[in-house]
Amino acid sequence: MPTLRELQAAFARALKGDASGADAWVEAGGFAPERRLGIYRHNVDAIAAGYLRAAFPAVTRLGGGDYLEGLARDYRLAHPSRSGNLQDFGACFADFLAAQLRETPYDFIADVARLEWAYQDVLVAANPQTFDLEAFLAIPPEAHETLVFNLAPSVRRVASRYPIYALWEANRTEDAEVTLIDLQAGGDCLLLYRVAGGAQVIELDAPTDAFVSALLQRASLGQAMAALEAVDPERDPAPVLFEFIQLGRIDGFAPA
Amino acid sequence: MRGTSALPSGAQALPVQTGIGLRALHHDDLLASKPPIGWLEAHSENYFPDGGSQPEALERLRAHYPIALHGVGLSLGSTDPLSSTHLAHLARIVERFEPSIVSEHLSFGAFDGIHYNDLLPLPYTRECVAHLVSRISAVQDRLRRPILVENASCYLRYRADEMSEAEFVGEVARQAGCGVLLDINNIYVNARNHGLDAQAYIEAIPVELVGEMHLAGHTVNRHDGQEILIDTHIGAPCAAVFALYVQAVRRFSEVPTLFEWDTDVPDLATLVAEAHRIDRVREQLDADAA
Repeated sequence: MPTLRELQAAFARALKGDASGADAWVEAGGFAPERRLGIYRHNVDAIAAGYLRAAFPAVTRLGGGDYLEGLARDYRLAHPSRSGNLQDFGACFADFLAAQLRETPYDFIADVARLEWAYQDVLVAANPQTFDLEAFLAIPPEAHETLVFNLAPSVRRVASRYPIYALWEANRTEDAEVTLIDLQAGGDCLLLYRVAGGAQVIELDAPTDAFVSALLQRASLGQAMAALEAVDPERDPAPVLFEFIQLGRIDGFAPA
Repeated sequence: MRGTSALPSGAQALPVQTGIGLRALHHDDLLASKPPIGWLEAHSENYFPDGGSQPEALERLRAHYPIALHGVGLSLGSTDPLSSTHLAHLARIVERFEPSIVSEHLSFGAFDGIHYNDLLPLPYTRECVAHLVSRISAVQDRLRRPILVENASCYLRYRADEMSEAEFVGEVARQAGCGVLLDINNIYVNARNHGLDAQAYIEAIPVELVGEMHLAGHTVNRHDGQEILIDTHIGAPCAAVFALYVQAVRRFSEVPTLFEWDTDVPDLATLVAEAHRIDRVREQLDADAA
């Protein structure tokens, strides 16, 4: 008789589709043991596919038909879930698609997946701190540029050489009208952040993107402002900073 | 043990009424209409993240309804170490939402660090009983409260089995000092899939262990002239499951029931109507018994 550990090891091999040896330990009773194990293999694939469909609706629609059903097992074998909480399972899906679709006319779908994952991530990110304006104003202005500003936990930046925002918007719902989108229409640089009841997606202009990218790399305010001014010397960075604070996209600061 | 016998302060006892599974797509409708239902059961893992609208909605809903937390990912039966991260998340939401009942499944879902996010079957062996008792005790110690464990639907049985499923469930609960969440549809599914006597199963579960019942629909699949029932949680329970439920209500009487519908989830009004139908059956049984 196998130990519990041996039995679970064999079951896990069966779920991967490998020769498992588990069938020798399973009662037949009308169905062959391998067929009974196959029910679980099918269920695990269906759970993975169902999760991917829910988390990546635009990718599902762009792929068409049973696209995700076909990919679900390959994805779960390449990037198995490491948590009893399925919410994190899609974290590697965009990279997986990028590898699958490299040098094909469909490589834009990986970038749409990146946007959809960021959107999911924004919805469950930790709540922001309340920005301590009083403490900020108490710091001498000449020291402001040495501060490092914290983007709120829900802020994400997604960039692509394709018009992923239009692709996503046109395919988010299953019954949306078919819209033709020119893939050569130019890329997107997007900022996502949480608002009451959901997530907001906005397009970043090039100077603001330089500013945000610097903050994401934990640059000081002075460095972030310099990055913005390098793109547009005429642009005043102060309104950008205060808009980010006002809308809760920046939730704190610390000395460099 | 009735599952709510050791409620922490702040938690409301579940009424002996039918509750419904809480799904995010019903949050707004529930908060707006506050239909008269006994209670809500939330999947624990959906509320692990601290931020966002899901935990906020649950905070608001628990002001109107008693709440139960039902886990699907702790993998009680796995031979991997119990996940301290998962358990810490669970402990945090138990403290935050003060549920009336905390429940998990008698199954495993992970091996060697890989999670299959499914409820995989365990052998009914003495080794497995001891393993589960140890793990459930650790969970109860961490949460500082008893939990309920649910009998799972199974599509296979192991040659290693040393006892019946009902004996296994009862023995685990008795030794671990936990309660049983008796899923009536799972009993029916397993009885049909493995040629068991569902009525005898219910009679074999000690009355004092059962703290909650689940009721759901299933799907009948046929392959090469053979049928196999899959626990899909779709639609209302069939007549045979309902008949078994009537037997269970007569035996366990004073426990709350959850109606589950997780595949092709309908609108809230449909769920509420089905919960009320179940309540009326229970009320009639109570009246008949009086």
